[in-house]
Amino acid sequence: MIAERIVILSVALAAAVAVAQPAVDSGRQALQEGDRLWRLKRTRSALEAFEKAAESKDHAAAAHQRIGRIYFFKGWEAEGAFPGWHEQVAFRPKALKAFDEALKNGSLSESSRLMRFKALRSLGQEAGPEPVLAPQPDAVDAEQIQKLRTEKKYGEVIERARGFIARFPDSERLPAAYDAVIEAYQATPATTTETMASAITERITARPDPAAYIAGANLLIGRGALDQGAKVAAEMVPAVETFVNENLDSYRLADKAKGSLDRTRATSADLLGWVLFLKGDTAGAETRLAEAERLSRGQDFTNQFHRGELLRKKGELKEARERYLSALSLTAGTEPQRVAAREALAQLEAGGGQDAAGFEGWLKVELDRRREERRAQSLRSMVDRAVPKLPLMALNGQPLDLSKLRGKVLLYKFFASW
Amino acid sequence: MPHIEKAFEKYANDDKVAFVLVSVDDDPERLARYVAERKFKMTVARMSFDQAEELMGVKDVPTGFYSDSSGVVRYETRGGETHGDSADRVIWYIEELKGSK
Repeated sequence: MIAERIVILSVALAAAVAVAQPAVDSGRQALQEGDRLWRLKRTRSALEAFEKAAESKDHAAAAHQRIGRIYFFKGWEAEGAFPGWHEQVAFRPKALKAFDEALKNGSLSESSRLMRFKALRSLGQEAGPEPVLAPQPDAVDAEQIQKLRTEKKYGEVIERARGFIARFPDSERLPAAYDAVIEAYQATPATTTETMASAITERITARPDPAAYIAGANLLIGRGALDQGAKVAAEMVPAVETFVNENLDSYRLADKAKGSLDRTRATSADLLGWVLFLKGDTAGAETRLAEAERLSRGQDFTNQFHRGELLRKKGELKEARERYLSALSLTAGTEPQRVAAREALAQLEAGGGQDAAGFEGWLKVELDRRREERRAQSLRSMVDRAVPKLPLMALNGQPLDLSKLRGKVLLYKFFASW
Repeated sequence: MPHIEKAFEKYANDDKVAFVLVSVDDDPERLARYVAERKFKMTVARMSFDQAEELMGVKDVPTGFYSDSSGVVRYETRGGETHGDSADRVIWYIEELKGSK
């Protein structure tokens, strides 16, 4: 009798385990995976994970709430959140639908209720009274760190930001806390390169967005950690490809996503070329820096400056001068870089017998001319425009039909025999 | 132009890529002599300089346009490149566009 009951009990237990366990696990796992992906801004994969979690009854409310928050971000907050990003009106109703779905299955957190209120109000619907949000501890801390940053109290910034990172490992504001740490390290002369490198790695791990890589590689190269800097610069390209592909619909136009990828590839090639230059590999540097110049269409200050430095070292002074002028005629570039470009130019010109006052006047004329040329060139540039139907003739004077070349990559080379 | 011919050799049997040389010569006879002398294997066409300027913004030669498979110009090169023209650069642009679709 007892034995029989034990058997029945264990069978029942086994059945309960078999039915309940996988369902609970997969839903929760999907939810956690989605949270992790969303922190990394792998938005597409995060949404997929939450959609999957929403299939489990126990986690449907939590999953829909998270979907709502992502669409809220995409619909109202994405404008300028990262270079080339825009808010997309099309996601707004989706945010609201997800919040409503969450309410049907359970309840909303305070912050989600506030988002839903803002969504309703923005869409012109009855929103009820505005929910009052208790201050979020991570927001309060982040604000204090920001204040210490502006006061340049870097010792305290490091302490507070490290405390923040330990306390709020899942916070949206984690990357900003790492940025604060890195900035403070930079302002602290005693910081070792290892300390800096590991902070940069942590920042990239927290959220692998383009700025994390670009700033990290620049910092390391600037400190003379050339191999570490080159490693970050090389890892940047595949990482940013993932970042852009996971967020394609926040770029609005395919060209903006492509532009972001091209800029990243240009920056990576430029940094790798610059590392080779600093190591004394002039030929390798030339290849990389020239590739960066093509990808950035000669419109990137830092690359033009680096090209100038390389050409000056090679003794191609006329070409070097052109690159410094090209760089200075572009906006952007850090102040030390701009000063360095001006000084290099002044030296080149002094070699040609120019005095200081003459140099200033000459520089202004040269820069004005280049800006004017750039404007004129961008007006007549064909880049991103479709090739129109061209009235071509064969050599015998008969009209030439090139429609059979449609769908191919084409090089049109305009030339003359004179 | 030798660099273009060298790059063309790589794509001579590639049906996803084509090169079109467009002459803006005003004297067809001189062009014919030039083409006969150079024995180009690529398509050679001509149009007037005025139309090239009007339709493609060609102000000077050589000017090159690289268009992708949808017919949109993605790169343009005006004048010679500063470090001398090279087949590798032509190939680089084409590989960029072949890879992008």
